[in-house]
Amino acid sequence: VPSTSSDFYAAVALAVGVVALLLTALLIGLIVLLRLRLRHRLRREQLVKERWRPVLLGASSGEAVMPLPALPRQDQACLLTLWVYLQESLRGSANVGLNALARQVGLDKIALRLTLKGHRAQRLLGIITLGHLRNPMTWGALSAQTTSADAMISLYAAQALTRIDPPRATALLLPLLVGRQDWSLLQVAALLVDARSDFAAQLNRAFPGLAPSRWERALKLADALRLTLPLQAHLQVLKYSPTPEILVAALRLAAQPALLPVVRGFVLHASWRVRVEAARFLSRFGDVSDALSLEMLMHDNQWWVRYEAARALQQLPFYGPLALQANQASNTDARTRAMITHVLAEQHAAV
Amino acid sequence: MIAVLTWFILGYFVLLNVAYLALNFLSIAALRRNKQEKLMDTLPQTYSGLAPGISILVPAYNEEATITAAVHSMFQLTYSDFEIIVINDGSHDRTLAVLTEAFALQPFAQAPRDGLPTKPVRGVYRSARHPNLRVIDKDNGGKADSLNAGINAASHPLFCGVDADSILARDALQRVVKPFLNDPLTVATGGTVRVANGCEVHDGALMRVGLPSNVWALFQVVEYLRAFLFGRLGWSQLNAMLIISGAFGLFKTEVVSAVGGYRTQSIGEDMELVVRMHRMLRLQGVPYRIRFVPEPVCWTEAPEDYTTLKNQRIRWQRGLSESLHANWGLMFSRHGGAPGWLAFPFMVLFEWLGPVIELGGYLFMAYAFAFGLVSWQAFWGFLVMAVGLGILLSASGLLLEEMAFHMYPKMRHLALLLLVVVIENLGYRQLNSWWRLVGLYRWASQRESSWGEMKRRGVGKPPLADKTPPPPGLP
Repeated sequence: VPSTSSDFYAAVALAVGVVALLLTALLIGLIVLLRLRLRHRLRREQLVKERWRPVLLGASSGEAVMPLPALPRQDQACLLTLWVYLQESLRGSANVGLNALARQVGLDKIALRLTLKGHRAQRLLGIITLGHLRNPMTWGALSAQTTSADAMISLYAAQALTRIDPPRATALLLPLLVGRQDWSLLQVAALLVDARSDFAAQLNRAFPGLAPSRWERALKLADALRLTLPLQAHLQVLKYSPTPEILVAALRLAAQPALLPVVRGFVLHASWRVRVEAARFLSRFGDVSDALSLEMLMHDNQWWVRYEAARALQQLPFYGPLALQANQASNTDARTRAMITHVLAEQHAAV
Repeated sequence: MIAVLTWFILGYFVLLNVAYLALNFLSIAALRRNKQEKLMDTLPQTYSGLAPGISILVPAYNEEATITAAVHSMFQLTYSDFEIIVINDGSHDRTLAVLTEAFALQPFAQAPRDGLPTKPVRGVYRSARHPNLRVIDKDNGGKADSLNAGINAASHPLFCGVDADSILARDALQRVVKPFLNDPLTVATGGTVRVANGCEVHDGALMRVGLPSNVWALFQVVEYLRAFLFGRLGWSQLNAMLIISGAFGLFKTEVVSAVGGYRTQSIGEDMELVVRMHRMLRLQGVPYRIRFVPEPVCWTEAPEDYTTLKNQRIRWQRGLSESLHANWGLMFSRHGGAPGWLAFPFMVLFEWLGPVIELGGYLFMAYAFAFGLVSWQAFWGFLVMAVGLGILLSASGLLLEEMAFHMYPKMRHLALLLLVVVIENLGYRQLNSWWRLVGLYRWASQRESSWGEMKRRGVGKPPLADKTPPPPGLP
């Protein structure tokens, strides 16, 4: 029995359903269109690769290929991508040859245009290209991008600057390198690999003036790049470190025997992570007087502290596996005995 | 009364689909950003050796037929620092013997850790050939218990729980670890799981993507697209993702230990852990991120027969019920944030109680029509709306796939998927709601659900013995 309410309901439900079906038809059309566009793009990319790969490979090995194929606007991004891929895969004179070709084709101008006016993906491509081209004239355009709120854009701009002029770039970027939490530490370390010594010089100079809130990141970066802090700066961090996290980062970086007296004080630290790092340090730089501390750490409540202490004793030249076995025989702590067995088994397996 | 009910049902369906479409828009934004950064993925990768180590935990129960290939395929993963820990959960077959022969296992005197409580560990073995392979042999305690034993033995700051029969992309670890590298607050990440049926698999590695010929598996292809590409990705944008699939997920070892590890009594231990992490970290005021990686990182075999699929869905609904019930405190809690104020209520309203209201709606409308309480126009209007909105959601899942990944390369794949998008809404989804309702009933009545037998055809492998798979999380 149709009622007024029921009819109104029917109209609303039907309207919602029909709108949903119309939208579905639109989506299906969009899906098919996307697929057709993709196929078209892949075909074009294939053509660009077939035409340009021999040219790029020739340029990388110093051969001039003439005449150059035409480069319509819609193929520019594809060629840039191919060029960047080769740049990242090759080293030495190959890069020089590729750069010469890029200038001949006008890729430098295209890259600058994309960096300044492109959408996000194009900007990234432009920035990476400019970095490889190492043209100091693009410094201004790139340094403006390093303050972008977009972590990816700013990080790749920093990398490009580091490629163009490492000493100038590390001086300019140091506050960002140790300050921008949204920059992945791993990526920052990767971009600094070729500017390691410049970064070390800048960091050593700036470290005493760094705010403690920047210490942890600076220490981790230094650790990632296998750098050594100046002794005084390192001692300053170890003595005045405001958090265990910073202390752990500082201890991981510690590679100077002169730090031994300070590090000894950390075997009783409240944080077990600090005790772990202290045991690791002692395994490298400890002397006979540290054996007692390490034996004490083998009774620690934390598994990892016991493990590192046992490993340290096993590695120290004046202690070693035999003394460790002797300790096990006389030890009444079951956890310590089990840990010694574990460490000796690891050593046996490694042999 | 009839009018109120009919409007309630209509309102519910509209609200459900509007909520999903909102998630869809969030996903589109995330995928667009992801696509813009694709160039960096195509460039040669630098291995700095600074990436955090990962312990891959592989619970194994009666896996003698597949475990060797699974471990071999894991050794092929491209990552700089990882170990594999297989946990033999009291298998009755030759799982341990097969591993011992294949990898030259030797007893290893591992010092016990005061970690998560587990069933007794009988022994620990280490491979003489691969220093980064260990096997823990323990009494049977289930998947959650095995994972807890693995966490206790893990040497690395991150652990990755995987199913022994998961097919992992070679760069799976590299992809799911990225959020940990980019944001130190990240405590867990999950990746997209896809249906492996119809794909070509060789020695545990995916060689070619294809579509299954089995209709049940085909329906699940579309379901997985919908669930992962806009369900989880959408919630991830709000840091409110409540599920990371048990088939493949990466976690901070220390954080999972601190919240008590996997709950051994739960069927849906993967979801329960993530919901509990949200609840406890928010309660403690610890800042954290739980992220989703949209790239397909893991492929899993979907059930191809009615009974297995039904049992799986009943289990999943029970798992969902247990996870929500165990963490009820998160709902509208003071510090609940997006998980407590949006994701949890959404799960309760649309996923947990959804089958009751959806099936109730269909039954009520049929009843009202049969007894002349509503007009035939209203009845058909309701059906057009319910089915139309369902098709729209499925199509939007496929759109996301086509925008970002287009994993199914041939035009006929696309045509078939478009067809499935329509027909899965004409019975399959309603059937699914029925299974979920049964799951809800079994949970409410505390009836033990049979885990059932998972009939596996094997993807690119010879047929396997029946076994019980763990639920890969709710799609």
